[in-house]
Amino acid sequence: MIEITDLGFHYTPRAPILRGVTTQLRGGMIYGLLGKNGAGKTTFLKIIMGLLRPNSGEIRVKGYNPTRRQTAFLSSIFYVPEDPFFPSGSLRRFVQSYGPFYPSFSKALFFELLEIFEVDRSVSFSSISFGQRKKAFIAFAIACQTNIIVMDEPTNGLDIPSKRQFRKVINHVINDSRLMIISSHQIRDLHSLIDAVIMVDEGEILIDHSLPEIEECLRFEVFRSEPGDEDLLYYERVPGGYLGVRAGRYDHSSLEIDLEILFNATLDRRDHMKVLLHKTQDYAQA
Amino acid sequence: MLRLNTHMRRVGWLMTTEMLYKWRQLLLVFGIGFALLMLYYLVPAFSISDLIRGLTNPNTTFNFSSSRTIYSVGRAFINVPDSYGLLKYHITYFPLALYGIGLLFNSILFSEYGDTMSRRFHLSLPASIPEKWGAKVILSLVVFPLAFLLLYQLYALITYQWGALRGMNYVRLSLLDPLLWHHVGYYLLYGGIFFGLASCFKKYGIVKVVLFFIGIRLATSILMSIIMIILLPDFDTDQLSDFFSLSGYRSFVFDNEHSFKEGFISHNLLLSNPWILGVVAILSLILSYLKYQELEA
Repeated sequence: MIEITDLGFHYTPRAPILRGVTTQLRGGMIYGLLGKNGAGKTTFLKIIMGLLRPNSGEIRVKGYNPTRRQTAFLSSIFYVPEDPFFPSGSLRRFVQSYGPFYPSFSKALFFELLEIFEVDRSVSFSSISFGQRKKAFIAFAIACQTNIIVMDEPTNGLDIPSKRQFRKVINHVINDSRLMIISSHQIRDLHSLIDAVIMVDEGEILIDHSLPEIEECLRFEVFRSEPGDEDLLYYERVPGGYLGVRAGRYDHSSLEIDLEILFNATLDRRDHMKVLLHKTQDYAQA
Repeated sequence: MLRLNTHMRRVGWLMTTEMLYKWRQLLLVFGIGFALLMLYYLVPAFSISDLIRGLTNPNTTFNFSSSRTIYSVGRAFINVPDSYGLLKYHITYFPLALYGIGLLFNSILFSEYGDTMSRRFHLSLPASIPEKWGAKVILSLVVFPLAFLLLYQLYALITYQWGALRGMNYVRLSLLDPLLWHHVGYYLLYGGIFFGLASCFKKYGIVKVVLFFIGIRLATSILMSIIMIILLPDFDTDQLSDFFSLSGYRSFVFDNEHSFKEGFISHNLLLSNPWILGVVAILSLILSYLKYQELEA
């Protein structure tokens, strides 16, 4: 659905934000886009949306060049930014004004999602909290029923029950014709939600793998005392012991993928992890 | 045909959303504009005693020496020489309001340029670049002048009725009056320039557009004055005074006879020549389209 080849972006040539980014994103998947602050996550999403023009490389979204901002392209993609646009007026008016732009927009689904998110449909954007507004915006994004939904820090500003509702809704609406990219530095919010991980750091992609691919080469383990094992790629102290990751395959004795450990391990053992994961990908592709 | 309908429908939605979400700003600009017009109409001079005298003695003549503008307003309202007094008032204030409010209207049309969140949302809306740009052009060059004409008619009716109540035999301003359509025609040219200017600025668009336009007028005034002083040192300004006073043009630079020279030249050759204005307006519109294509968020 999205093909990116050797993508580069900079505001000034001396400080590239993205360089040589190459990836393919498939339908039916939820991608978690991870990275530190300033790693280039939002820039990456904006380029996919056609809001920024890359300096080099090529990008195709459903066969369209995003920078041309054609109607057919824009009808097939929705962007939920970290701080969305909340116009004055009621939610009802917002839906009446902007819903018609999206050919598959469903008002019934929008109101159903508002109920799930516990947002009153009769209120205006200005009279509700940021979290409520954001949930209404996410509901609108899903109700537009576009093939691609791009979300930048969607759980920022949501309370704990809302995060649970968010995960439930996303899991419910994903299907083979849809692709979602969710960027977050609140890694725990993506747990049990995403199918694949893209990790960006210093302008390049360090991880671009599905969770089964990661499970093929990494084992996550828990230790009661500090492990002295030299095979361990990375470990850190957690309440009640230590959590670590080593090269190896997931099995019944290991833990599920811990995204936070994966993230920190990749930053800590950058080159090692890249080699390890790429070998697995090559093996999987072969 | 179906494709055309789809395009037109999207342009219609875009225009509606523009109006729906900017109505507060638009109302403010229109409200202030018409409140000022009403103030100028009702208050012939800026003092309470003059106001009371004006309201109680309709045929009193005032001699205002501080400013031509105030003088002409006062003359139109109070010292009405004939039934065309009110029309003279409209001659000055209709174009002033049309261009002034039009300038602000165009700035408001591009207000999302200065706000990343709404710019991002606007650019992501499923409509093509020509549709989004076209919706703004239609609002600026078709909807605004027509809406303004209708509102000004309302204003003219109020002033007419007010005069009639006070026993004045004013000429009623017709919607078909050539004066109005002459200026609406010129607005289409100036509007194109305003539109182009407004699309160039992201932050503080309104302020920058106003300053930029004043800057252009100043630069043209200075340039044309220099040219006139060099080329035509014995230029006779007397014969131009009638034309000049009707044009409403005032020099920002010179306050003596030179102002008439450069005023005449710039009025005729640069800023009011419809052909030159037309070319500049078209170039401005092209510029605004290119800027729109380049816009990022």
